[in-house]
Amino acid sequence: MEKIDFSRVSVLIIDDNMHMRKIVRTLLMAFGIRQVQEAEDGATGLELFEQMNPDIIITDWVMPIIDGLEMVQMIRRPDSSINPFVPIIMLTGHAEKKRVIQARDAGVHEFLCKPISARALYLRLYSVIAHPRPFVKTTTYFGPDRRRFSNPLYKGSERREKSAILDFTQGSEEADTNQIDFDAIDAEPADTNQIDFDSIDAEPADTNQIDFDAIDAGEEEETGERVAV
Amino acid sequence: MSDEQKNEPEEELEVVHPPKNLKHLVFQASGGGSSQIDLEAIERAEHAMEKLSVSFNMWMEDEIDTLRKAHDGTKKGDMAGESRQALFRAAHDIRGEAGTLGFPLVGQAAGSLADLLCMLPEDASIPEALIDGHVQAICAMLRENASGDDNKTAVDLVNCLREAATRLLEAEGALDDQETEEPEESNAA
Repeated sequence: MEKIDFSRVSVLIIDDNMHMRKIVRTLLMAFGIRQVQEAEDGATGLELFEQMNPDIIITDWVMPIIDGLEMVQMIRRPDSSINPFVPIIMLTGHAEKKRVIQARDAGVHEFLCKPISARALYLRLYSVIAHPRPFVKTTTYFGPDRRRFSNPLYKGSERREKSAILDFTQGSEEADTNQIDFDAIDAEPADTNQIDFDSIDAEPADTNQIDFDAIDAGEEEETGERVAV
Repeated sequence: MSDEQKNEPEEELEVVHPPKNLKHLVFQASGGGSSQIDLEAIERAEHAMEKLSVSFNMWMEDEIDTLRKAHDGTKKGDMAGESRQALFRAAHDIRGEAGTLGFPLVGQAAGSLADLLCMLPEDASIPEALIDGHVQAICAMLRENASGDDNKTAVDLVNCLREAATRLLEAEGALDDQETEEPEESNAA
């Protein structure tokens, strides 16, 4: 097993709040990331994006002139963007379901609610690097694939059954906070045998992820629990 | 899935694989193989945040100063347009930042104010006393260093503000379709 080495990864932070940029930069540098650029609004962020072509973008939502959501939409234009595939982590104080879905539909990879923690940010970075997703292009969407897989060979319990949640979290080291499970957002409630491949790959349990299956299906499920079979 | 949904024709989609795989970038550097979470890196980052935390009180004061100025802007009879936006941005910034800086209660009060300004339409009137109450409470909590749930007065104050704001939002129908996914753990790193 190798520890992930971030030293060759470049990150662009876009946030109008100077203090938050400083915090995120400090965390990234401590993770071993050496190339970190900052922009204080969406317009400057777009300019820097074109200049440096970063490997990952971490952006705030609420910013003057061009906000984070509009900026993501511009970056995800395959005909005009220099890298429409760039992984984007939305870091925001907004936690409303409506906002999260808007971010997902704009093509954000990961959604991280403030307050931020070292572990939560690390796991978002780990997720976009270690588990890259193919992109989907339709007439109305261009962004990371948010469909779930069905595995006919799987014989265990359904993905979001309570037992599955408990089994997974009990075996974990520590809980993470604030993560949204975008993979799950569009799937049907009664779709059995689905596997969240991201969660089986031995990372610590991400217990505060929001499961969009449950949101869309109106299920009564504890929020934020990452689930796996 | 409903029968109606099942009968809808599926939208054509194309699956595209991103040309750049960051996995190669990080694994080449580390000599290949599968990856694991680097707990030491997380620990390093937490220590770095601890070092940074000596500035947190000063940063909060900066944020509160921005909030006060934005609030003064709305006092000049302009509770719409750019003034309102400036007050919203200041409150929203504090909502996002205060928890990380060790003032979760301040963050909650600021969040309540930000919700009022964001969720109510511009033509809806927000009682001035409610706005003033939020701003004064935020300033007082910072002044008294009310950083956690152990300060009962601050907790009660935040609850009162939140209740008053929620009542107004409900009365204006602004809470429809506004479920919030609150993180279970508020972890100030």
